[in-house]
Amino acid sequence: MKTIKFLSTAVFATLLFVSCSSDDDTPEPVNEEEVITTLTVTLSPQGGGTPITLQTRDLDGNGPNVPVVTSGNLVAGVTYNGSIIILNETVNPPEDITEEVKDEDLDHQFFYTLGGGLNVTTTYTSFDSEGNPLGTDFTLTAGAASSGTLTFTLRHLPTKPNTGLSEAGGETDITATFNVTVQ
Amino acid sequence: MSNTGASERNFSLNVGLNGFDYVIETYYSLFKNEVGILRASHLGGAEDQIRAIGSDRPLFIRDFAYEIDAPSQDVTHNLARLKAFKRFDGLGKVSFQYDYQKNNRLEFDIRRGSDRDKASLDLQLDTHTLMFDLDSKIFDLVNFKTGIVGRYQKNFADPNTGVRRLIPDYEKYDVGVYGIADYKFNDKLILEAGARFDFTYMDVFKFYRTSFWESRNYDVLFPEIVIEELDNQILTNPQLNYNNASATLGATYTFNDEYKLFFNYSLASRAPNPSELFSEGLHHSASRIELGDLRFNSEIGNKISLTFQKENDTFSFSINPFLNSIRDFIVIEPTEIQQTIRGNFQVWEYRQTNAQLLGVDVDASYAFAKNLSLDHQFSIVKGYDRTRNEPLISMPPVNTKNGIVYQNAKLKNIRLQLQSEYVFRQNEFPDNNFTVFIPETQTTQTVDLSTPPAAYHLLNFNSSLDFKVNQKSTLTVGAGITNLFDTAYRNYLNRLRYYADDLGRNFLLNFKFNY
Repeated sequence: MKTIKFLSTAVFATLLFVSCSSDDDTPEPVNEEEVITTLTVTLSPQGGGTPITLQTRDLDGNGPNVPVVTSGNLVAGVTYNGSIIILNETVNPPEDITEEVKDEDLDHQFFYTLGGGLNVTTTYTSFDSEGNPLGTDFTLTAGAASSGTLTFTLRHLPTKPNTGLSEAGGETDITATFNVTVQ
Repeated sequence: MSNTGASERNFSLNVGLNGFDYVIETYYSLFKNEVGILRASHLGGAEDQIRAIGSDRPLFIRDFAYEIDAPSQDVTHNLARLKAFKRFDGLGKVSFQYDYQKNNRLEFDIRRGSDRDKASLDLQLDTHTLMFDLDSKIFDLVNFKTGIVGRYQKNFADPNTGVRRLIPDYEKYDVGVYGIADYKFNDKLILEAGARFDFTYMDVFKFYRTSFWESRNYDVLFPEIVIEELDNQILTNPQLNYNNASATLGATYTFNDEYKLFFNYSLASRAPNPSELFSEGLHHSASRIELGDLRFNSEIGNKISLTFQKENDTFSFSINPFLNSIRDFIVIEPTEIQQTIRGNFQVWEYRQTNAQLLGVDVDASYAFAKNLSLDHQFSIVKGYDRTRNEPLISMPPVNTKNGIVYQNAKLKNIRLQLQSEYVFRQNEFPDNNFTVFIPETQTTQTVDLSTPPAAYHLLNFNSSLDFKVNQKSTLTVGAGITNLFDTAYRNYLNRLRYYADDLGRNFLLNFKFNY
């Protein structure tokens, strides 16, 4: 008898305990500030002409959708002034991450990698406060007709100075590969 | 190894009141732990992974430092407990316990701009647990124990981190009722039977990425849980119920003073936990995308085990073979590679499957001379995925520990132990490798996440001495060295094994004061 009475007290206590939860408000959303969704490279021919835009855009960040890539073709023998803009377009208005990269220039560097026999050369034209390459701006000279890939990689906290991507270390903030043809 | 330091602070207090037929105890403990996350494991995309996995040296080595920098983890546990029991004539012992646990976990990542010093993960988990137990002797030959457990858990993920929540905000309620009885059939045989029922209710607020929500077909399966659709996220309110029944049947047969045989059959079920259900996104410290599944059911396991035991002063051993068949067993494994703007990431997905685990544990100790003894431990477990007909991922490899101990109570209770630990290479594993196209070299490379590391042997040393401070107090001083020969090894079950060797030689010193 005593047992039964005791158990019912226990059940009662637990039910009371369960029912005393507060009614909650819905949580607030997190709009990630550090996400980079978009990388745009603008190549303006020196001496004038229509600029070429290379862009990769991944509006769902780390979500399952793959980035949308648009590319363009270069003209043999032309030198282009290149500039890179990176954006976070998950927030409204879009945030310009390039500014942050420039503010922390010692901690960042862009690398340009050629693949598949693409005949172009690149030169850094923007540098950090210690005179090492930053790479938000550069010049690109298209050589003979050829095709291949052009990859832009932004490394965070690389070893500076370095001899190139393979020994730079750090971690990749963005990497974007474009199929490019020199005509 | 850059940034692998740890700082740990603990404090605990125990106050009790002992009466004639009752005891009341309160307990409080504070545990604070700051751990650096291996700097070299913090990577961008799969190209970085290939660089790291392919390299026999960690990619990031800085000079030795005591400071712990980002990436790091800062964990605080607070536990307060009130415990009481009282004996009642004709009823038995009634115990009551209430626990309140408050855990706070902060993770600091390498970040840019104004978020630089902000935590990227800030979780606060509050747990209240209430237990009542009744231990009674109904008849002379029957012991009966019954109880009820209630638990309320609330997780709050601070949105100020500016990083999407790894584990969503949730409230979880558990109620469990159990009863277990043993019956002394005769002097040699004791039979035991028990049952338990658990009810779990979870009330969750979870933001899904719209693209993930749709790619999983959740928009068709669970339209009713959507509260609000934002630009690229959907706020949902999953309310989940799980009913889990468990049961156990056992028998103990005593041959004589030394030999015993135990047999046990158990049916156990477990509700999926919030990370198995709700993970969705990049897990920074693991640098992989982890995906849970909202559709998971409870795991249900059927286990049969047998233990044969001999116990006496000089030689004791136990052999324990077991077979466990689990329906809807939850595993996490690499499934694909996902392209993002930061590069390609490994995707690790939780999956339910039917699994079978088969193993044997052996323990033995032999006091071969005065104050000297040998101890031995061996365990082997084989796990198979019966749905896919392949080995299960992340099964512990065969291992054996053998040690020799010298202990002398007359000499300040001195204890010296030398222990050898041999871990075999896991020879059965599923193939979860995938290939990645590396634009830098224009080649396709295989990312080998499957192949287990080689076998290894470690030697550990442990010692302790007791000093009497006064009549009631003793100070125990312990000193130990783990991995005596500084052997380089990698542990198959360590998630960071892809990036660096495991711990080298470590010196440990501890003081314990009992009063």
